Amino acid sequence: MGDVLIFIGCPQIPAQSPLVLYIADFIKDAGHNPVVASNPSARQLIKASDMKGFYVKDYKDVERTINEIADGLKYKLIISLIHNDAGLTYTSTVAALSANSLIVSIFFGEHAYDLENECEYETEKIVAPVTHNTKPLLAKLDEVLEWAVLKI
Amino acid sequence: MGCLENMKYEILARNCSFKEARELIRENSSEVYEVPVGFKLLDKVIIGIPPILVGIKDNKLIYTYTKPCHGTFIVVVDDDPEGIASVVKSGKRIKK
Repeated sequence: MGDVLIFIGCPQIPAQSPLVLYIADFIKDAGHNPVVASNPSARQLIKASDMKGFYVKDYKDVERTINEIADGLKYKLIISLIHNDAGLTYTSTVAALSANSLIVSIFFGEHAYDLENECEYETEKIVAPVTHNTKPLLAKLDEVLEWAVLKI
Repeated sequence: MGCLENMKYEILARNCSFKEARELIRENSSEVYEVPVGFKLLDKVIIGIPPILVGIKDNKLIYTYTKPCHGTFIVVVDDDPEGIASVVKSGKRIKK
């Protein structure tokens, strides 16, 4: 079973860290290894919530990850959490470099619908303008993850 | 090749959306090139929504630098002749 990349951005939206752990749990249960690509502050928030690495053992710097993908590293499944223009910019780059990967994009935060409308790459979209409450995202997230992990 | 912090550079704009940054590069460059996704300057991939533009003016490179929490910056980098050569070689010159 392979690595699944969870790609995250700035941690200013509280829903982000619990969503990462939720997704990582799902991926582990499906027999895959979640790898979180983040900046240092987002990584620290997740590590503080998962001190013993029960959900996530592997972390990578977000820019290093993009360089590795540009140099040929492949992930069959990439799940990206997007709540600002930078997140969309990073994910657009990753998507353009990962033509054969399945990309799942989770748009959340107050600009979720605007960001979704600006998204031009091929992706499965999950959208809800939430900042704290993860619940509006979870039903669709479960549905998408269930088939996504079967495709890889 | 080095790190941006070791180069002589200025910040032309900060906290832009990527689309705004593209327009600013067009407006502030004498030559504009579209570079392929994954193109690197100073050993780092230029992060961007295609089309990714790099400008040249007065022997300086003008391009985007995106940070997760701070949006997109436009940097003007002096004294990177290797970078300029690489942009001209790998990029496709476009009309401004």
